[in-house]
Amino acid sequence: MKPGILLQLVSFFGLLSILSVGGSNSVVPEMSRKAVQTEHWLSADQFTDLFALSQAAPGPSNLIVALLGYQVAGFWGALAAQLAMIVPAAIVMVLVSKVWVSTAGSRWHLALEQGLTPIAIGLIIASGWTIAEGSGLDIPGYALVAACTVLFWKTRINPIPVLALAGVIGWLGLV
Amino acid sequence: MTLSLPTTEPAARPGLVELALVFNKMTLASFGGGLSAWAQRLIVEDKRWLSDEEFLSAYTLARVMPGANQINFAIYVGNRFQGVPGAVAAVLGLTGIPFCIIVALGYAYVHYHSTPALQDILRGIAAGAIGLTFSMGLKTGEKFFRQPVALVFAALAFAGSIMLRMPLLAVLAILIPPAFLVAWRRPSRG
Repeated sequence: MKPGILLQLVSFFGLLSILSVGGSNSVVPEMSRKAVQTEHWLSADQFTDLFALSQAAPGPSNLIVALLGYQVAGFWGALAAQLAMIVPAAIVMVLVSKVWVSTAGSRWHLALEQGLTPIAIGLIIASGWTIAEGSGLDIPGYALVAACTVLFWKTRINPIPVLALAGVIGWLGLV
Repeated sequence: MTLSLPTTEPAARPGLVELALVFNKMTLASFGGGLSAWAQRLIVEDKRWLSDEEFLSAYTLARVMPGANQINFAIYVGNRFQGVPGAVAAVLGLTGIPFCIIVALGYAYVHYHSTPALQDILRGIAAGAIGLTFSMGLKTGEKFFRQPVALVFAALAFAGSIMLRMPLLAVLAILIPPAFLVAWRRPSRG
């Protein structure tokens, strides 16, 4: 394996890490441009497959980076790309967290926290909506969404068996 | 019905191992999506490490800052209780096993193609995970059902994001200043 390609992965994803304001999905178009059009690491269809795979797999939303690194340079490519995607943004977040925690209890902190709360709730509902729009679900699928929403909202049921049951319902072709 | 107690301090201060284990549990539970909903369920409802308010503000902070939301949230929680080592422990717990899984999937992708049955199963799980996400918004939001001002801000955030397709930063830049001013003039806590 060539060290040059690892260096290229680290410098590209290290830069994207800092640019990924609003979440790592905001820089997916940039990844696609680099990986598919500029470097020809993989085809556009392959990129779409890897994106779907990374979304279905458990874990944070930026795991597509590991898949791209793997495609380019095997295991060490995956590790180098993933670390480069995590570390720069993580350093920024640690610094901001320290300021946020150390000002807890001050009036501006409380006002900001209270002001952010309803906005965050609106954005959470919006993110569920966005996933639903892109999921290709039909009417029975949305009925399952509605049933799960009410169940999880009104009870403290463990979600894992419910999600497993939803998987079986999908497997049976009911949604 | 879940009562949201205004707990400012958690029951017990989690150590490094517990931070890693809880974030590992969270990440493995989120197969098919809904990781943020799992975060609320585990950190606020089960562990009571954060109040609803602190969870939501930390969650928004994690979304605004560069980087994956869930990793930023793990950094916030880890740092809150154990400083930088806590942040590292939480991120390792969150990403360690998923990284191994995704590498295995990358290997499998090279050799096999995704089967229709797998896609059917994933679609069902996705429907459940979407429900989990909606329920998280409703659970943390139901105490605002009788507060018109809060409802307006929640509705505007939703509308900006979905109907107007505005970028997250634009939604926040427009809504945070008035929301901050309203809360500043009318302190309801403390």
